Parts: sequence; C-alpha cells; structure tokens
Amino acid sequence: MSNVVDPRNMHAYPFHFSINTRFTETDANGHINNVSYLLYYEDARAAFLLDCFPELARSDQWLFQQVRCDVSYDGQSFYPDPMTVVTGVEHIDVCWVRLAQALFQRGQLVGQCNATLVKVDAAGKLLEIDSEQRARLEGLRLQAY
Amino acid sequence: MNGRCIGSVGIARYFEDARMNFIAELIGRSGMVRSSWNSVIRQCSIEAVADMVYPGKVTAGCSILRVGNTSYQGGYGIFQNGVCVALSDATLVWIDDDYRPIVPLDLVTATLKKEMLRS
Repeated sequence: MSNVVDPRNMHAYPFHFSINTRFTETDANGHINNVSYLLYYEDARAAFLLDCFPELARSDQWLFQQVRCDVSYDGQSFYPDPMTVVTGVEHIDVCWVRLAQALFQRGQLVGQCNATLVKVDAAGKLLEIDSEQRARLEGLRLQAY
Repeated sequence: MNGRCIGSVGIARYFEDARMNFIAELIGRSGMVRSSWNSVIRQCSIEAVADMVYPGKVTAGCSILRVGNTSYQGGYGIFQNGVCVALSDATLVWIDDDYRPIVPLDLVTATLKKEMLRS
C-alpha cells in the first residue's frame, strides 16, 4: 500500500457501480460510442449521489448540477460485456465538488472522468455545501491503495 | 433535474455531431474520400456556460486549435438564441485500420492548419 492515490487503480475508488452495455450504445465499428461513456459516468454519479445523500431522491430544495466534465478515452470497449464505473471525491470546495471516475471493462481501464458539480437551489442559485454534507463527502474520497 | 434544460449527455451529443460534421467538411474540402481516413477521440472537456433549454434550436461553432503529428485538437461552442451555452475542446487521433496512430497525408494536415489560421 502506498500513500499516493492512483486514479487508474480501481481500488482507489470507494464507490463501485456495474452497468450492462446495450447494443444501441455501439458505433458503426462495434465499439461502445464515446458519448455512451458519458452516460455511464452520469448513471454512476447519480447512484453515488443518492447513496451519499438519500434525501436527494425526494428533495426539490437543492441539487448538484454538473458544470464541467473532463474525460479521457484510454481503451476500446465492446458490447455485450458489462462495465464497472468507480467513483470517488477528489476535491470539495465551498459550493462545488469534483468527482473522479474511471471506467473498467474486463478489469481493463477504458476511460477516466473528472466531473465538477455545483450545489444549487431549484432556481439555480449557488448554495454552500454544509458541514454535514461535507463530512459525508469526505468519507468518500479517493484513497491510496 | 430541471425538466426544461438539456442534460449533460445531450449536450455531449451535440458536440459529437459538430465534431464529426466539421471534420467531414474539412476532409471533403481537401478532396479526400471518407473511406481513406479515420480518427478516434482521445480526450474531451465540456463546460456548461448557461442553461440550454428545450424546445429551441442551437448552433455549433467549430475551430481547429492545434495540429499535431498524429492528432489534432478542435474547439467548439454551442449557441442558443445568440448566447454561448456550452464550450468544448477535444483531441482526436488519426488511426489506421488496426487502430494504430498514423501520420495523416500532408493534404489533410495542410487543410487543418489552414483552417486553424482562419479560425
């Protein structure tokens, strides 16, 4: 075990989410299309947030809205093998949090994503991440492995 | 979350359409045929600048930011009602039939560089 967080290591992420690929998500060459990767990341983020904040399922007072997404494509992936999306917290700021994600198929890294989410109210006004929410997010940081 | 806003994956689809139409247009301008070139995406960033709402029309603006040996970087913006609502950049790599990076024909590189200067 080292002290350095390796974002390419699946075990560095506290939250794992499995997704079945669908034929409709492939391109003309039989690969999973690049935009489908974003669907998987989004699905996993939604599951991650609901796991961290179950109250989000019935709240219309606040939400996390994605404002930025940086992705890299590290390998090809194919239908029908399932994907594993792993997610962890990389950075927590006053009103926003950055999540790190990686996508694996058959144990091989095929993509990485950093998504910046801001906490807003229903009208889109920025809200501060409170101490209790911060503590929950802190518990889901990427870990050295 | 907000029912009237286009989601992040929907925005990514618009950018993908813009990327592919743009490069097909440039390659066509260079006189190449579609079967003689291929590229894959290596990296992409998307930034939401403002809400993109449904229903409505959007327009994509495209440019070439950098031309490398085996890759190029494009810059893209999506506009709705004349206002920029999302920005993106993407790096694409030229590949052969075995998905190995290749140096494209001089004609392609020249066309991209010309477009970069024009942008």
